[in-house]
Amino acid sequence: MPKYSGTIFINYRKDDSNWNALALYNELQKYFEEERLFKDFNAIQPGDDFVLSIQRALSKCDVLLVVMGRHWLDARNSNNVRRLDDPDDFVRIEIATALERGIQVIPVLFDNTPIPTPQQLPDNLKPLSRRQAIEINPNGFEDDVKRLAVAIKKVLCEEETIPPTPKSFKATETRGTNNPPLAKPDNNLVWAIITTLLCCLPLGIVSILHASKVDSLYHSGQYDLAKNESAKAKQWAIYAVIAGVVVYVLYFILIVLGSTFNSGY
Amino acid sequence: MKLLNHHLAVAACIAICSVAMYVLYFFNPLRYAFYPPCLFKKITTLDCPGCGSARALHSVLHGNILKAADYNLLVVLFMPVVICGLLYFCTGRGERLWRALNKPLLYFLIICTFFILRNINIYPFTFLSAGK
Repeated sequence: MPKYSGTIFINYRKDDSNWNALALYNELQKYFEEERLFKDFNAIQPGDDFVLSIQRALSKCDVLLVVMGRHWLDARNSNNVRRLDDPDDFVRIEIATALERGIQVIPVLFDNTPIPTPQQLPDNLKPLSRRQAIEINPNGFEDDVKRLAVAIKKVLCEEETIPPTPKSFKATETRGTNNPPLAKPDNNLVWAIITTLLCCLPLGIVSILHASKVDSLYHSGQYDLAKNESAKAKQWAIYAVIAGVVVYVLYFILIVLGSTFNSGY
Repeated sequence: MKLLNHHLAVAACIAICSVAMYVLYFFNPLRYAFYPPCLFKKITTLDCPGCGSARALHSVLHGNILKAADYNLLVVLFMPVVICGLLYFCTGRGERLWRALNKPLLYFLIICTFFILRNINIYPFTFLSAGK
């Protein structure tokens, strides 16, 4: 898995920001390969459960850009219900799913639209008002999108800066998609415990610490780092065994030499 | 190749466990001097989390859980966890149970607390020390 292969989804409302989204999409191609940018959910086939389809599509995405124009908040459907209040509103489902899954969500504000207050948002979108937004203006369009691109790259490359993922996200949930998730690396905990308790030097404790990092890193989607910690846990367990054997051999030599060591173990 | 490696590791694991159990059952660590000393204890005179584990395992194998707990409480506590982990490693069974028991951070905290408490030479904690 290449390290910087994260994908970016552009979430927008057609009757609010059709052109904004298109301009953003085109401009972002200066910074990201086209394969990494998605603007519409073309993954949804007729007859699909669209909630499931969105979840599936979002499981492959690392950043969700929420394009907000002047009518993002108050756009209404044919029944004169505010679209945001409609539980089946695509825009709402996409954002809610992304928030729930701990995907980085960046509001992108066009036309001097202010970031909505929590009171203006349905419950499952309230966290959105606390996200750091980026404003895009026609005058400084290219510079603004560049700032956004830098922010996205920061999210994708320096994954340490991502806030921890909510517990509800489980990598195993995405099973059954085209890209099956990578299995959780073994945290080598058995060996860590055994070496801590049975070797002559408590080096296994270091191994346990590394083991504990495997799970948390894996659940926040940082697979490479998790794998790294898994290897370290194994490595330290091996060090503990080697140290134990070395001590034992030295001890044995001392016994043979008639040393006055007592059994202390 | 990976599968072969795993089979070799399982075989080694079973062999080492059998030999260790045999030795620990028939040779009391209190009487035989060939058991390795704890280097940490030799240098610092403090009990490490593993001190007393050989005597504890000997006691467990002879069915004396209480005595084992006196030598090293952690060995008794972690025994079910380690058995589950090894069973899963060797047979691939009990994945759910092992996953439920796989709590490294909790164990780390338990071990550190144990490490500190067993070196406090005051009444309730003296139970945790490894003895002579």
